Amino acid sequence: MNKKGIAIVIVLVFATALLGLAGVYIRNSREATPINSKILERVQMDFIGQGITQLALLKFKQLPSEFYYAYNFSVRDKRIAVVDPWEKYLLGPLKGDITEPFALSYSTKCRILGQTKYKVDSIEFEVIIEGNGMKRSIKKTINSTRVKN
Amino acid sequence: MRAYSSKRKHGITLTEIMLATILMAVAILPVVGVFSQGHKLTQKDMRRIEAIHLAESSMNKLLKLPYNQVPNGTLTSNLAAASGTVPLGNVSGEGNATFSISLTVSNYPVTFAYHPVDLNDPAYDIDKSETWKFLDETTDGAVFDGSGVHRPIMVKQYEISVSWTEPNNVTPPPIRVSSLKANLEE
Repeated sequence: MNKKGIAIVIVLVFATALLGLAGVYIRNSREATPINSKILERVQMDFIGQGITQLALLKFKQLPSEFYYAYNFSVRDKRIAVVDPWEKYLLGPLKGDITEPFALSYSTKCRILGQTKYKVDSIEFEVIIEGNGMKRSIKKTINSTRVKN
Repeated sequence: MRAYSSKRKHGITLTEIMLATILMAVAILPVVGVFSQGHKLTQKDMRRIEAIHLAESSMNKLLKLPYNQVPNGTLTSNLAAASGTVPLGNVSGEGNATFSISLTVSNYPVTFAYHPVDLNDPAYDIDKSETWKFLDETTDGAVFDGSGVHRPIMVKQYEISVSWTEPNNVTPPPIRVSSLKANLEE
Protein backbone atom coordinates (compact mmCIF):
# COMPACT_ATOMS: atom_id res chain seq x y z
CA MET A 1 0.00 0.00 0.00
CA ASN A 2 1.48 3.32 -1.08
CA LYS A 3 1.31 5.79 1.83
CA LYS A 4 3.10 8.57 0.03
CA GLY A 5 1.46 11.96 0.67
CA ILE A 6 -0.89 10.65 3.37
CA ALA A 7 0.27 13.39 5.80
CA ILE A 8 -0.96 16.12 3.46
CA VAL A 9 -4.33 14.44 3.15
CA ILE A 10 -4.64 14.20 6.93
CA VAL A 11 -3.66 17.84 7.40
CA LEU A 12 -6.14 18.97 4.75
CA VAL A 13 -8.91 17.04 6.51
CA PHE A 14 -7.96 18.65 9.85
CA ALA A 15 -7.69 22.08 8.29
CA THR A 16 -11.14 21.72 6.70
CA ALA A 17 -12.59 20.62 10.03
CA LEU A 18 -11.04 23.61 11.77
CA LEU A 19 -12.38 26.01 9.15
CA GLY A 20 -15.81 24.43 9.58
CA LEU A 21 -15.62 25.01 13.32
CA ALA A 22 -14.57 28.60 12.76
CA GLY A 23 -17.53 29.08 10.41
CA VAL A 24 -19.96 27.79 13.04
CA TYR A 25 -18.37 30.05 15.65
CA ILE A 26 -18.68 33.14 13.44
CA ARG A 27 -22.33 32.34 12.69
CA ASN A 28 -23.12 31.94 16.40
CA SER A 29 -21.39 35.22 17.22
CA ARG A 30 -23.45 37.02 14.57
CA GLU A 31 -26.66 35.58 15.97
CA ALA A 32 -25.78 36.62 19.52
CA THR A 33 -25.75 40.36 18.81
CA PRO A 34 -29.40 40.66 17.66
CA ILE A 35 -30.48 38.69 20.77
CA ASN A 36 -28.57 41.26 22.79
CA SER A 37 -30.55 44.05 21.12
CA LYS A 38 -33.81 42.23 21.79
CA ILE A 39 -32.99 42.14 25.50
CA LEU A 40 -32.65 45.92 25.57
CA GLU A 41 -35.82 46.44 23.54
CA ARG A 42 -37.77 44.16 25.87
CA VAL A 43 -36.54 46.06 28.91
CA GLN A 44 -37.39 49.40 27.28
CA MET A 45 -40.87 48.19 26.36
CA ASP A 46 -41.52 46.92 29.88
CA PHE A 47 -40.57 50.23 31.47
CA ILE A 48 -42.65 52.22 29.00
CA GLY A 49 -45.56 49.88 29.71
CA GLN A 50 -45.12 50.42 33.45
CA GLY A 51 -45.15 54.18 32.80
CA ILE A 52 -48.42 53.98 30.87
CA THR A 53 -49.86 51.91 33.72
CA GLN A 54 -49.02 54.82 36.03
CA LEU A 55 -51.03 57.12 33.74
CA ALA A 56 -53.98 54.73 33.85
CA LEU A 57 -53.83 54.63 37.65
CA LEU A 58 -53.61 58.42 37.84
CA LYS A 59 -56.61 58.85 35.56
CA PHE A 60 -58.59 56.41 37.68
CA LYS A 61 -57.53 58.18 40.88
CA GLN A 62 -58.48 61.59 39.51
CA LEU A 63 -61.68 60.53 37.77
CA PRO A 64 -63.05 57.50 39.65
CA SER A 65 -66.74 58.30 39.06
CA GLU A 66 -66.17 58.83 35.35
CA PHE A 67 -64.32 55.52 35.25
CA TYR A 68 -67.22 53.63 36.84
CA TYR A 69 -69.90 55.39 34.78
CA ALA A 70 -68.15 54.62 31.52
CA TYR A 71 -67.19 51.06 32.48
CA ASN A 72 -70.59 50.08 33.84
CA PHE A 73 -72.42 51.64 30.92
CA SER A 74 -70.34 50.13 28.13
CA VAL A 75 -68.77 46.98 29.56
CA ARG A 76 -70.95 45.72 32.40
CA ASP A 77 -74.36 46.69 30.97
CA LYS A 78 -73.23 46.59 27.32
CA ARG A 79 -75.23 49.67 26.38
CA ILE A 80 -74.75 51.33 23.05
CA ALA A 81 -74.21 55.05 22.71
CA VAL A 82 -73.34 57.24 19.73
CA VAL A 83 -69.99 57.82 21.38
CA ASP A 84 -68.80 54.92 23.48
CA PRO A 85 -67.71 56.58 26.76
CA TRP A 86 -65.52 53.64 27.75
CA GLU A 87 -63.70 53.58 24.44
CA LYS A 88 -63.11 57.30 24.79
CA TYR A 89 -61.94 56.88 28.38
CA LEU A 90 -59.13 54.60 27.21
CA LEU A 91 -57.82 57.06 24.61
CA GLY A 92 -55.53 60.02 25.15
CA PRO A 93 -52.33 59.15 26.96
CA LEU A 94 -53.59 55.62 27.53
CA LYS A 95 -53.38 54.73 23.86
CA GLY A 96 -51.02 55.90 21.17
CA ASP A 97 -47.73 55.62 19.36
CA ILE A 98 -44.25 56.67 20.32
CA THR A 99 -41.08 56.89 18.27
CA GLU A 100 -38.44 56.84 21.02
CA PRO A 101 -36.46 54.68 21.69
CA PHE A 102 -38.03 52.98 18.65
CA ALA A 103 -41.44 52.88 16.99
CA LEU A 104 -43.97 51.48 19.45
CA SER A 105 -47.72 51.41 19.78
CA TYR A 106 -49.57 50.84 23.00
CA SER A 107 -53.09 50.51 24.31
CA THR A 108 -54.71 50.06 27.70
CA LYS A 109 -57.33 47.58 28.79
CA CYS A 110 -59.09 47.44 32.07
CA ARG A 111 -61.49 45.14 33.84
CA ILE A 112 -63.15 45.06 37.20
CA LEU A 113 -62.70 41.75 38.97
CA GLY A 114 -65.30 42.40 41.63
CA GLN A 115 -68.95 41.83 42.25
CA THR A 116 -71.47 44.62 42.24
CA LYS A 117 -72.95 43.59 45.59
CA TYR A 118 -69.64 44.23 47.34
CA LYS A 119 -68.18 47.66 47.75
CA VAL A 120 -64.60 46.57 47.11
CA ASP A 121 -63.36 45.96 43.59
CA SER A 122 -60.14 44.60 42.23
CA ILE A 123 -59.37 46.58 39.11
CA GLU A 124 -56.88 45.20 36.65
CA PHE A 125 -55.14 47.58 34.30
CA GLU A 126 -53.30 46.03 31.39
CA VAL A 127 -51.04 47.92 29.01
CA ILE A 128 -50.21 46.14 25.77
CA ILE A 129 -47.19 47.46 23.98
CA GLU A 130 -46.03 46.37 20.55
CA GLY A 131 -43.05 47.15 18.36
CA ASN A 132 -40.17 45.56 16.44
CA GLY A 133 -42.07 42.28 16.22
CA MET A 134 -42.45 42.03 19.99
CA LYS A 135 -45.52 42.29 22.17
CA ARG A 136 -45.41 42.88 25.91
CA SER A 137 -48.21 43.01 28.44
CA ILE A 138 -47.88 44.87 31.73
CA LYS A 139 -50.59 44.29 34.33
CA LYS A 140 -51.29 46.11 37.53
CA THR A 141 -54.13 45.26 39.89
CA ILE A 142 -55.41 47.59 42.58
CA ASN A 143 -58.17 47.38 45.14
CA SER A 144 -60.80 50.08 45.11
CA THR A 145 -63.59 50.84 47.52
CA ARG A 146 -66.79 52.29 46.08
CA VAL A 147 -68.49 55.02 48.04
CA LYS A 148 -71.78 56.41 46.85
CA ASN A 149 -71.92 60.22 47.07
CA MET B 1 25.21 -11.53 9.00
CA ARG B 2 21.99 -10.15 7.79
CA ALA B 3 21.78 -9.66 4.14
CA TYR B 4 21.20 -6.13 2.98
CA SER B 5 17.75 -5.69 1.61
CA SER B 6 17.54 -3.64 -1.49
CA LYS B 7 13.84 -3.10 -0.93
CA ARG B 8 13.31 0.64 -0.21
CA LYS B 9 11.55 1.52 3.11
CA HIS B 10 8.57 3.81 2.53
CA GLY B 11 7.82 6.45 5.21
CA ILE B 12 7.11 10.14 5.76
CA THR B 13 9.75 12.29 4.25
CA LEU B 14 11.03 15.48 5.77
CA THR B 15 9.56 17.41 2.86
CA GLU B 16 6.11 15.96 3.62
CA ILE B 17 6.38 16.82 7.30
CA MET B 18 7.42 20.38 6.53
CA LEU B 19 4.68 20.83 3.95
CA ALA B 20 2.10 19.43 6.34
CA THR B 21 3.30 21.70 9.13
CA ILE B 22 3.11 24.75 6.88
CA LEU B 23 -0.41 23.81 5.75
CA MET B 24 -1.48 23.26 9.36
CA ALA B 25 -0.09 26.64 10.37
CA VAL B 26 -1.83 28.35 7.46
CA ALA B 27 -5.12 26.75 8.52
CA ILE B 28 -4.74 27.36 12.26
CA LEU B 29 -3.66 31.01 12.21
CA PRO B 30 -6.94 32.40 10.78
CA VAL B 31 -8.91 30.11 13.08
CA VAL B 32 -7.03 31.44 16.10
CA GLY B 33 -7.70 34.96 14.81
CA VAL B 34 -11.41 34.23 14.49
CA PHE B 35 -11.61 32.81 18.00
CA SER B 36 -9.68 35.75 19.38
CA GLN B 37 -12.00 38.20 17.63
CA GLY B 38 -14.98 36.17 18.84
CA HIS B 39 -13.71 36.38 22.40
CA LYS B 40 -13.42 40.17 22.10
CA LEU B 41 -16.96 40.38 20.72
CA THR B 42 -18.26 38.20 23.54
CA GLN B 43 -16.59 40.47 26.08
CA LYS B 44 -18.14 43.48 24.33
CA ASP B 45 -21.57 41.84 24.41
CA MET B 46 -21.14 41.03 28.08
CA ARG B 47 -20.36 44.64 28.87
CA ARG B 48 -23.46 45.71 26.97
CA ILE B 49 -25.62 43.17 28.80
CA GLU B 50 -24.17 44.36 32.11
CA ALA B 51 -25.03 47.94 31.16
CA ILE B 52 -28.61 46.84 30.39
CA HIS B 53 -28.84 45.08 33.77
CA LEU B 54 -27.52 48.15 35.57
CA ALA B 55 -30.06 50.38 33.82
CA GLU B 56 -32.86 47.92 34.61
CA SER B 57 -31.83 47.57 38.25
CA SER B 58 -31.52 51.33 38.79
CA MET B 59 -34.88 52.01 37.15
CA ASN B 60 -36.60 49.34 39.24
CA LYS B 61 -35.20 50.89 42.44
CA LEU B 62 -36.15 54.34 41.23
CA LEU B 63 -39.74 53.37 40.46
CA LYS B 64 -40.14 52.03 43.99
CA LEU B 65 -39.32 55.43 45.48
CA PRO B 66 -42.24 57.69 46.36
CA TYR B 67 -42.99 60.37 43.77
CA ASN B 68 -41.94 63.27 45.99
CA GLN B 69 -38.55 61.82 46.84
CA VAL B 70 -37.19 62.09 43.31
CA PRO B 71 -36.13 65.64 42.41
CA ASN B 72 -36.19 67.06 38.91
CA GLY B 73 -32.92 67.52 37.05
CA THR B 74 -29.94 65.42 36.09
CA LEU B 75 -28.27 63.31 38.74
CA THR B 76 -24.87 61.68 38.32
CA SER B 77 -24.26 60.52 41.88
CA ASN B 78 -26.23 58.23 44.21
CA LEU B 79 -29.79 59.29 44.83
CA ALA B 80 -30.25 58.83 48.57
CA ALA B 81 -33.94 59.13 49.35
CA ALA B 82 -35.70 58.53 52.65
CA SER B 83 -36.94 55.13 51.52
CA GLY B 84 -33.97 53.87 49.57
CA THR B 85 -30.88 54.61 47.52
CA VAL B 86 -30.57 54.41 43.77
CA PRO B 87 -26.98 53.75 42.69
CA LEU B 88 -25.90 56.37 40.16
CA GLY B 89 -22.52 57.64 39.00
CA ASN B 90 -19.56 55.37 38.34
CA VAL B 91 -20.07 51.68 38.98
CA SER B 92 -17.36 49.05 38.52
CA GLY B 93 -18.43 46.10 36.50
CA GLU B 94 -16.86 42.77 35.71
CA GLY B 95 -13.71 42.73 33.60
CA ASN B 96 -12.41 46.12 34.76
CA ALA B 97 -15.19 47.98 32.97
CA THR B 98 -16.53 51.13 34.59
CA PHE B 99 -20.09 52.15 33.89
CA SER B 100 -21.42 55.62 34.34
CA ILE B 101 -25.11 55.80 35.31
CA SER B 102 -27.03 59.06 35.11
CA LEU B 103 -30.65 59.91 35.76
CA THR B 104 -32.70 62.70 34.23
CA VAL B 105 -36.03 63.56 35.80
CA SER B 106 -38.41 65.90 34.00
CA ASN B 107 -42.02 66.96 34.21
CA TYR B 108 -44.45 65.06 32.02
CA PRO B 109 -47.63 67.04 31.37
CA VAL B 110 -50.76 64.96 30.85
CA THR B 111 -54.36 65.75 30.01
CA PHE B 112 -57.15 63.26 30.46
CA ALA B 113 -60.31 63.49 28.42
CA TYR B 114 -63.61 61.92 29.45
CA HIS B 115 -67.35 62.05 28.90
CA PRO B 116 -69.12 63.14 32.10
CA VAL B 117 -72.61 61.96 32.94
CA ASP B 118 -75.29 64.66 33.11
CA LEU B 119 -76.15 64.48 36.80
CA ASN B 120 -78.74 67.25 36.39
CA ASP B 121 -80.82 65.29 33.95
CA PRO B 122 -84.26 64.65 35.54
CA ALA B 123 -84.22 61.02 34.47
CA TYR B 124 -80.81 60.36 36.00
CA ASP B 125 -80.68 57.45 38.42
CA ILE B 126 -77.29 56.32 39.66
CA ASP B 127 -78.39 52.67 39.77
CA LYS B 128 -79.88 52.57 36.26
CA SER B 129 -77.32 52.94 33.51
CA GLU B 130 -80.09 53.35 30.92
CA THR B 131 -80.82 56.77 32.46
CA TRP B 132 -77.26 58.03 32.14
CA LYS B 133 -76.71 60.66 29.49
CA PHE B 134 -73.11 61.25 28.63
CA LEU B 135 -72.16 64.83 27.86
CA ASP B 136 -69.60 65.99 25.33
CA GLU B 137 -65.99 65.17 25.88
CA THR B 138 -64.19 67.42 28.33
CA THR B 139 -60.88 67.70 30.16
CA ASP B 140 -62.26 69.72 33.09
CA GLY B 141 -60.32 69.01 36.25
CA ALA B 142 -58.05 66.59 34.46
CA VAL B 143 -55.31 68.80 33.03
CA PHE B 144 -51.98 68.30 34.77
CA ASP B 145 -49.54 70.46 32.85
CA GLY B 146 -48.20 72.69 35.62
CA SER B 147 -49.81 75.80 34.18
CA GLY B 148 -51.68 76.71 37.36
CA VAL B 149 -52.48 75.84 40.95
CA HIS B 150 -55.31 73.58 39.88
CA ARG B 151 -53.25 72.08 37.09
CA PRO B 152 -50.21 70.70 38.93
CA ILE B 153 -47.68 68.39 37.39
CA MET B 154 -48.65 64.88 38.45
CA VAL B 155 -46.31 62.79 36.33
CA LYS B 156 -42.54 62.72 36.02
CA GLN B 157 -40.47 61.12 33.35
CA TYR B 158 -37.41 59.17 34.45
CA GLU B 159 -34.65 58.47 32.00
CA ILE B 160 -31.64 56.39 32.98
CA SER B 161 -28.57 56.35 30.80
CA VAL B 162 -25.66 53.95 31.21
CA SER B 163 -22.47 54.65 29.31
CA TRP B 164 -19.05 53.01 29.32
CA THR B 165 -15.83 52.93 27.34
CA GLU B 166 -14.50 49.90 25.55
CA PRO B 167 -10.85 48.82 26.08
CA ASN B 168 -10.01 50.30 22.65
CA ASN B 169 -11.28 53.70 23.94
CA VAL B 170 -14.41 53.56 21.80
CA THR B 171 -17.56 54.77 23.56
CA PRO B 172 -20.59 52.76 22.38
CA PRO B 173 -24.04 54.37 22.27
CA PRO B 174 -25.34 54.54 25.84
CA ILE B 175 -28.10 52.26 27.08
CA ARG B 176 -31.22 54.33 27.75
CA VAL B 177 -34.41 53.31 29.49
CA SER B 178 -37.25 55.59 30.41
CA SER B 179 -40.47 55.32 32.35
CA LEU B 180 -43.12 57.46 33.99
CA LYS B 181 -44.04 57.87 37.62
CA ALA B 182 -47.37 59.37 38.62
CA ASN B 183 -48.12 61.11 41.86
CA LEU B 184 -50.60 58.61 43.27
CA GLU B 185 -49.92 59.52 46.88
CA GLU B 186 -51.88 62.76 47.05
